[in-house]
Amino acid sequence: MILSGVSVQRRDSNGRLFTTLSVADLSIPAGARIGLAGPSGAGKSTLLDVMAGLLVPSTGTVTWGATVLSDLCDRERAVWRRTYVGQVFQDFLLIPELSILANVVLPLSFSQFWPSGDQRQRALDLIHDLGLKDAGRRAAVLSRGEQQRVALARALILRPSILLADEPTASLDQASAALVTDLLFDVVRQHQATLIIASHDPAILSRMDHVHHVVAGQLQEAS
Amino acid sequence: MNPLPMVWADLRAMRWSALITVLLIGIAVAIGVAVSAQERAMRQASARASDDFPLIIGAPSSQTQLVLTAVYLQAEALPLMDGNILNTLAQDPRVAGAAPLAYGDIVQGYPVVGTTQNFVTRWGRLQPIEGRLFEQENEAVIGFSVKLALGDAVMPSHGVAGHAPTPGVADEAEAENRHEHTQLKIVGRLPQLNSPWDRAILIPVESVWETHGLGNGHRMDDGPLGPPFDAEKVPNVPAIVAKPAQVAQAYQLRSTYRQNGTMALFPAEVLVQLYQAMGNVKEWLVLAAMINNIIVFLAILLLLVTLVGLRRRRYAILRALGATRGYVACIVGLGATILMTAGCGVGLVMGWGGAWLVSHFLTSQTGIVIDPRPSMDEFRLIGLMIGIGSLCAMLLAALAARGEPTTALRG
Repeated sequence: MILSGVSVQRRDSNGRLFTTLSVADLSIPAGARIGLAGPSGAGKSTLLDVMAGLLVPSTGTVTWGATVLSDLCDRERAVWRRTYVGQVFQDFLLIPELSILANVVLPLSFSQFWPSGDQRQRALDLIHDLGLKDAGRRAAVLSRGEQQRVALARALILRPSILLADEPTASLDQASAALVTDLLFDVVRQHQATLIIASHDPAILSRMDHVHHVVAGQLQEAS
Repeated sequence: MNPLPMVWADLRAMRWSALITVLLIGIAVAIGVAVSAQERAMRQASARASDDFPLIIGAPSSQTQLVLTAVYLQAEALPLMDGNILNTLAQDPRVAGAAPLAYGDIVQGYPVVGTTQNFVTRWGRLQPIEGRLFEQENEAVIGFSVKLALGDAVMPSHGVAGHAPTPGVADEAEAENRHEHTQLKIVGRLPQLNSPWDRAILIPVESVWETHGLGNGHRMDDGPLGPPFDAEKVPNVPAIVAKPAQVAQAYQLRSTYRQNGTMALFPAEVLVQLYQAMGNVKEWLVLAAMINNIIVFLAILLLLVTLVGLRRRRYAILRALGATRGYVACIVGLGATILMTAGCGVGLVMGWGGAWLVSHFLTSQTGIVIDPRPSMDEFRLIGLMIGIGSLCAMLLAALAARGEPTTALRG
């Protein structure tokens, strides 16, 4: 993934344009583990949204292989996102009324009616590999650590090439955070996916190949 | 794609709101359905009940009252007309049959009607399902629903103005006004007619006249029952039902007997006026129900708009995971349509149930068997409601699908 001359601009309450994110040039090789560090509100999540194709930058281009994301229409970006991108959020964002299994296979329902036997088995394997028991339990009754593991399984169900995680351990206690971090790195290694994590957690950032700092919307050199 | 898991999740998340929504829509729709089904059932039942009364002749007074008393046995004193008209009718070649109807007495709350064997059998169409027809003045044939047995002996009572007897109940007023010298023996039971006549006790008209000290209408005391009556002795009668020999002659007869101190009418023409009034009332009630429905739909639409607003983050998650706007719109639209359709279904059942209850009550009060049955009218109403509901659902869907998910996603 290559970001070139990317900026995201918004209007303030007086209608004046201001820049919330500016990335001169960022190239992310396949299989890399990239950390995004910086204070809250600096623009890390906005950068993840741009990489996920959720937010079209005001200027510049985001290129994935031969595909320029900003050239795609909304629907095409949605299809691209579910094909190549897995996402994990700070608040897990599960559907509490659905079971563990139903949450994990939810992204499949965007493009097909029922999961195939193989897909269902893959979901159950992921659930098992992530240490979750009883796939029929509703998400609402799970602990926070379990919820984040379900979110991780959901992100991986379509074998994404790139996994974006926004503060994946911020809502977890220390023990759960360590467990989820280990699982995250394990599964990414197994799936040979590119991992991009926005986090304040030094334990996570220390395990990344490169860490970019985002300060006041400006992406700084990797450390 | 398969929006059903998310539709299910949404409905489960809002189960109490969903239940109340379905009930509110159900009640709103039920009012319209009940009004429509009830009015139609009453119209059909009242028309069916008048089938055996092609032409009614009475003394000039209220046409409606004549029909209500003669056909529906609503206790009311009618003015009398010259009984000799019976003989005139008997000699008229345009008349296939004519029978007097004499009202006023009751037995255990059941109206007693004096008439002829010819009318009891509806000019040969009916036969008793138990026993036989009356052959003597002190014999009676009972309607299908009269709770008396063959062989029972009963004593009629004089009906009193303002007294509303309850069928099957011999009350104090009835006991006080008994015709002590008249005893009737039940000799037959008629088949079910689904009309107030199922609750009537039919006796020879001569018996009514005798009981009231008017003789028996014949020259001899123990002559045969029924026409011809003696011109000098036949008492006045409140109503005569006549059967024209041919349909075309019915209008001539009506014209003939609308002069010289009589009034003739087809029950249908009075019923048409009543239906017109009922129809006007129905139209207003349906209009009121429609306005009511629209208000309820708008209220529910606002509720769902609020719920969709509260779910913005939920739908943003789906977008972030790769769902298209169409998928989100489909979830919201389908969910709202399911609620609206379920509400309409519940309303249909509640409406018919309500109409059935009201009909049951009216039947118990009037004896007219009112049987509300499903009709296309209700399905059309439901179709309209579901159509409006689907439009509302599309609006909601458009609302849910618009906007960028990033803001909602970050809470």
